[in-house]
Amino acid sequence: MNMTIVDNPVLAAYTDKKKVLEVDRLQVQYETPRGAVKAVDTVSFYLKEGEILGLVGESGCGKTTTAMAVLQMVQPPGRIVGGQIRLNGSELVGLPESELRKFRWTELALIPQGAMNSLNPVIKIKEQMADAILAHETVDKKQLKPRILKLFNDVGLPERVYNMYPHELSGGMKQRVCIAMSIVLNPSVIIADEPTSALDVVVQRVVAQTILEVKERLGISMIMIGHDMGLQAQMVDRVAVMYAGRLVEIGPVENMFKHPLHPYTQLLIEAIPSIAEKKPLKVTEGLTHDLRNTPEGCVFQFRCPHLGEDCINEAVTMHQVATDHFVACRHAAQRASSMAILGGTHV
Amino acid sequence: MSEPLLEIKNVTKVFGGGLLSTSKPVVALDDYSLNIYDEPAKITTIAGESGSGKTTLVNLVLGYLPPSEGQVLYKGVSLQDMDYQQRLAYRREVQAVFQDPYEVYNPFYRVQHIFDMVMRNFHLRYNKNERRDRIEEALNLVGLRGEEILEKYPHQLSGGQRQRVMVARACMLKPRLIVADEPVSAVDASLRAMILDIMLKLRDDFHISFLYITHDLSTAYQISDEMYVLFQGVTTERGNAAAIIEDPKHPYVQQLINSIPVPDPTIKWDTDIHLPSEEEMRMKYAKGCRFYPRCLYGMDICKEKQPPEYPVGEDHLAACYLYRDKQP
Repeated sequence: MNMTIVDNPVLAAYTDKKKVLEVDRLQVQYETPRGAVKAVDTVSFYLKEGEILGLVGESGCGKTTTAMAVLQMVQPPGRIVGGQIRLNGSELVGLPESELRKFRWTELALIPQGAMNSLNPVIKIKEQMADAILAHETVDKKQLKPRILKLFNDVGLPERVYNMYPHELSGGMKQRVCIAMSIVLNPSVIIADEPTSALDVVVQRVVAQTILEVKERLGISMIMIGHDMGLQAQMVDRVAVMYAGRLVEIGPVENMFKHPLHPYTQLLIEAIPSIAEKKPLKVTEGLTHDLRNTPEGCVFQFRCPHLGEDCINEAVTMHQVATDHFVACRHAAQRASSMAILGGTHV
Repeated sequence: MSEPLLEIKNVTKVFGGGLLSTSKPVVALDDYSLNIYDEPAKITTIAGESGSGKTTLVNLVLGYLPPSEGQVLYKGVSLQDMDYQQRLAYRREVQAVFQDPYEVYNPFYRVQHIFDMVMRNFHLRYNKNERRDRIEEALNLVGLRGEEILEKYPHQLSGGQRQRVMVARACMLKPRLIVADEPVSAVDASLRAMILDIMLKLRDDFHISFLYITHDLSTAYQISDEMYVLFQGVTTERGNAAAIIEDPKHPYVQQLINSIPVPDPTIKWDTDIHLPSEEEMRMKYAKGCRFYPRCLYGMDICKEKQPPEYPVGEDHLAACYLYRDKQP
């Protein structure tokens, strides 16, 4: 362990399982003519072995940029300006492209947003799958087919798909081809960027269950980006909430839904439309500030209903309120410890 | 009951299959009927998955497409038979709000231009002050202020602001009916609540009816009065929105509602779901129930012909043979 881990309280915290992925004060900025947009601003979190971490927040809050940074795929004008990303202990930031190739797909795979559009329309599924394998391994051509068919079986696709073109498949099947492709080299971490957002509810549920099954069977750790809180509640073990480029709260899913601590998390959870009861809709006021011009103090100060004076002047850090549970709000942290609602180790 | 504001009468819409076409025709809507009464103003939801015919329905109601068979009537007059004055009135009284607030704007013009266009196209001859007041009034309805946004370009507005400007534009003409085609599926949760809230306010305070097209049953449940659930061009279940969501009768609607992820981590999806293989899906029971290949309760009669609507409760009908013998 080097010094940087020790002085980041989030990463130094105790967990019951091994930390597969550690993101340490990651900063990503997009250069624009009128200043740099801080898309990801000192974000720190870890991913435990075998868990699914949900990453939620409104559009433009930096969810996808964080994921792309972990994959080292931030496109210019964006660039990683600070922080570290460690996968199973090895540092990813700053590695040359040739070194990164050893990690990509073999250790770290992606299920992209809108699988519909991520498959090449003029190449058969079998060739696209074979491509992914052959790019990283030297395999006997004869072994390719049984291996691909086994993957299809894993994700519940019929064997016929092997010889088909993407346009012959339905949306749910295309999404499953993408899932099959992501597990083709047995990665330890998969990042799924809104894997079901373009699908109908019934198909969404089937695909979600496929993902859970595959993850369980192969013991993969996942980061699942999404904005559907209902789906998050069903799928993930821990939820990380982002707002305006910062991580505002991260914790076990049961706690987050039952006792959301950060005012923004509370707002997100109240805004979920329910079919269980008819209730007046919660309307929220205020806009996110310009990300070129981050305020001193708390990032949520323009929309927070419980604004205190110290929120405007003093910088906010992550406070640990229980095992695996951190919140970037000193008032919420105080409230949590005084009420002792969460159990577990308080810090 | 009085005459319906909008009546869709046995409309069938078929795409393709023309003289020179090589592909099979697609039936987007099959013998579809719908009535909207506006005494009092109501929010009527059309819910369905992609490919169910929702967008075709919008295009028919707005007069962008002619029906292959049947009629769309507004105040008793078919859209196809309207004269110039009637058409102008129709265009004014039936407004639309579309799904993607990022694509409905011309990026070269300021927001002001949108309102000016409306004034010009509908010959609203106001003087300058009156014009400004009308625009301000419409914007206030949706919680915006003229000085904040009129001089801006579309890219300077947030997604929620853009969608609200579209609602304000629709309101300026004092419409009777607003066709809202997935108005909230492209905006965030917090803005979604705001836009739905505006819809409720317009219904209650300004007597505007809505035809709310969506695939999201939970928002439909929160705001709508009447609901029609579409599946492959036919209505599977219709009636009071709360009754349908709380006690769905048609197997398709039951499956839909069971699949909505519950925002509570302590309640997990319980039963496994059965989706048929592609072969089963492809089997076309051209005459029978559309849902038959996916239905858990399929009977022989389901293959024979499309079930009619049976009453399953007060103001609640389901097109399913399961209910043919049962009286509510």
